[in-house]
Amino acid sequence: MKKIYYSYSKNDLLQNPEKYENTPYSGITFLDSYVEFRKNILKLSTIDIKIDEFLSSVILKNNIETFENIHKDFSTLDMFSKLLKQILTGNINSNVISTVSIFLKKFEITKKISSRHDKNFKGINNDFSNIQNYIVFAIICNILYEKTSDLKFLNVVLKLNDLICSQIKKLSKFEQSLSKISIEYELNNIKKLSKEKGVDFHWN
Amino acid sequence: MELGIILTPSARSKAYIQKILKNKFSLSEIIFLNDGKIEPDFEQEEIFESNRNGFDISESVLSTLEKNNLSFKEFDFIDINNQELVNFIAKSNSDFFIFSGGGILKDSILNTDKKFIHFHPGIVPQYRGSTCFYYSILIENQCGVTAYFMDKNIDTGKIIFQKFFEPPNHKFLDNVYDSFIRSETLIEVLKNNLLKSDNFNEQPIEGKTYHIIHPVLKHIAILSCIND
Repeated sequence: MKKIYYSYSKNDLLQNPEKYENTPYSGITFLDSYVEFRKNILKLSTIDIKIDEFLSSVILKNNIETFENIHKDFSTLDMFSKLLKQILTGNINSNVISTVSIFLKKFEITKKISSRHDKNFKGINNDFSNIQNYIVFAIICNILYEKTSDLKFLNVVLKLNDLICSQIKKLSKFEQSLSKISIEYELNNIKKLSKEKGVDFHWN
Repeated sequence: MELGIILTPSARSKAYIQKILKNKFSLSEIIFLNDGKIEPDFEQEEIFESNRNGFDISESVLSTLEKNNLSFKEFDFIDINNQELVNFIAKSNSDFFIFSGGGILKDSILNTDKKFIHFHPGIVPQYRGSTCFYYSILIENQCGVTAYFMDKNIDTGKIIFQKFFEPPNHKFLDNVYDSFIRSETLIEVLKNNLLKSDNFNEQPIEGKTYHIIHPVLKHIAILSCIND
């Protein structure tokens, strides 16, 4: 059987976003190539980091108290950190889901995440390059998929991780380790879904 | 009631026009938006599946129209909001147009007082968005089509009819299965004269819009159909 290479992270997706329109069907070997590609990315990360360690390392830039009732501009990473902290406590309420859904929709349409937003969640600068925003958001959506089984979260995780993988060689060791969390989460979620659907492919 | 159709060079348009002719429904007007895009070569297996599903994907829209001596108005673009098309439609005698293409209708075409019917491959409001049938397969192992009158938003118009379908047992979902379920719903709407009703259901505003499916999820959805 002809070998297929997973190509959705081949280009720099920050510079040239992937639209995913009319993607071809290539059979089960496509899924094998996806797993192989993601596992090769995981091998690049030499240190393990825990989410808690990451959260305590984030320097909150403008000290938003909560992700709710925002009255001023905010750093996206601060917002995502607050959201992630609350999600990790298990308190996934409708405010969490609706706030995450706003960012999810924006990313699905633009394939970018602005580093700052105004109080109405409108991106207020043209800096989309902070990869930590993409990684933390991917972790958030992975957990929300796990908790809710809502496929919109898993769909955006795959796209976020494609983008992260497209940048992997430019990332710091810390960021590579952080992305490992999101990619491992994604692989587990995909493995679970494919098993549920009776789709069997190579995981090792 | 005068019914027209707006075709594009797509698998969906092929299924629509071939099934309309097969079922001997008459059309007051045929508009063909033809941007001259070269047709892809379909593999034999895909052609076979399309035949099994009631249409021939290898026959171009133009061939079908010419073979059946149908008169049609051809434009060299596929943009539904093009002013030249809007002007033409505004003068048309048709009350309804089946629209087989994609895109959002802008005010200028919506203000022509014609009604545009879209066959969306999802049961709304639960499944909005262009690739939602893949999600529907993954979530509930079935698909549906909603016939609705187009408005200025995506998949939010008044509902004419909804129909559920079993998932396919082949891999050609984008061209064959999608065209099959939409065209079957179209024929059912016409057979039952559903456009003559004066009682169409408003959709709730709340609903779920699914964004373009990632190829990994798309493969899992297709393989789950074939495995069955």
